[in-house]
Amino acid sequence: MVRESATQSDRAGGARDGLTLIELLVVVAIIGLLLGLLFPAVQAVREKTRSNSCSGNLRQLATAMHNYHHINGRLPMGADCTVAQRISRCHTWVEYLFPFINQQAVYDKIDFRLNTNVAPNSAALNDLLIPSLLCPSDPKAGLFDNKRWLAQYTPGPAGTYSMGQSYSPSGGPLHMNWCPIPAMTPNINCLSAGGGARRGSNGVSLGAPGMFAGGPVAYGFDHCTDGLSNTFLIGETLPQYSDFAYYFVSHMNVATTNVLPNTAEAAHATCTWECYAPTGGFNSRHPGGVQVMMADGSSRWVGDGIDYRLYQFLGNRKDGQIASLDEQ
Amino acid sequence: MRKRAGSGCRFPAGPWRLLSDCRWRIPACVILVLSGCAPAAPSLVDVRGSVTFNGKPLKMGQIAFVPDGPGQPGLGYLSSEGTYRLMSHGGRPGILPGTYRVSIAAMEGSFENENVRHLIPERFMRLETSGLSAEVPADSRGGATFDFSLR
Repeated sequence: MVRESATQSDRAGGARDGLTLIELLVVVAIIGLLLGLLFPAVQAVREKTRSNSCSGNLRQLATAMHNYHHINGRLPMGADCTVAQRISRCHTWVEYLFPFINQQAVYDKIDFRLNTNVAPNSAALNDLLIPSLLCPSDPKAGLFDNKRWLAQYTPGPAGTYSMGQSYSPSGGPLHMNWCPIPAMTPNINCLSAGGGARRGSNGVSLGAPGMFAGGPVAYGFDHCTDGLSNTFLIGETLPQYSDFAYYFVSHMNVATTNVLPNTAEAAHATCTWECYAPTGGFNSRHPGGVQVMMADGSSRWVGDGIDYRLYQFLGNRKDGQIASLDEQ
Repeated sequence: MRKRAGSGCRFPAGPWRLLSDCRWRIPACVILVLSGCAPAAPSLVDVRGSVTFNGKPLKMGQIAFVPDGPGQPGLGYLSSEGTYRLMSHGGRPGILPGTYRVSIAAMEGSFENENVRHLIPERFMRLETSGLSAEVPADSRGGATFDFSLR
């Protein structure tokens, strides 16, 4: 009865009962608006959480490197190509770190005298997935088919899978067979040759301006005359774009500062020739930059807009000099 | 109620009045939402252009603009039509205004097979010898075009 009388009075006063369609739409629009405001904020928080987890993994790797250095007096080699006849299927820095990142069991299975694609190494290294080497911000990082562009470097044939990891050690302003950003004058951005993986005519590896070379050279912290806090140790990468960030891809498994951070995706989309070089820098899925660890173990953020020269100086452990070929 | 069907934009008194101007309601909401999302991006100049070698479009290769002073280099790849578009700053299209030296490299083959061949003279690849440069003006809102005719 009450309802009846209310309706009556509405009619009498010319007002409506219930909601008009437009009012409903406005309510829906406002709810949509609020969700629209909330959604990016929630996404940002989720990305921040993943980014923190990613940073924790980086820190763990940097700690592992320091522990390795404490025992061996040197950082691990970028790639131990002393076994392989040429540059393929060498053991890489990350395998040497296995005992320091809770992977002693895998480490014990590896025979470092043999290439990565033969028994027992192929069984140990294929299908191996180590979550702490993957950044949660990049869901693509993980196992990749060994049938990739550089299949001759992977530890198994097509149809088998091995890992592409989210972190690459710093090679500094390293020439990766060619330099997408050509050498400046003075040359601070395109040093060494062939990712530091090759040997010169004297049989000695060329080495790298950064803390890691792509070949059988190992540097110690005493080689870092710039100061450990001013030199990159390791940073993030996106293995789906970076051919050399594939975990077992032997030589040149290092990141160069020759190309700007976070440009791999754009380069990968348009590049048509020897694309590992423009995609071989530091890259991440975090908006606006990449996370790196400096050689002293401090965590840093490198923004997309970093000055190019500064970026080179941070990569080079010996600023102001061109890295000499006999430097070890 | 039916009589009001044609006046869907009329609202009762109160806060609804703020949204009563039908023409601007949706744009206002869109602007309100997007204004919270805009990242603080540098104002980059969209640089495009084309490259020819001996009068023909250079159908593959790479072009780099390297600044004389501070800043970032821009990198672009030649399309099958010989055109390029530069990127820098985390892969965003465009570069900062300023003076740049330009290098153009076009190679084929592979280093792995040791059969790399230059499609254009190697001097264009080196910044000191390319003889190419570009002045990207600050007020180029619609972008800037730099075409290079190599011989």
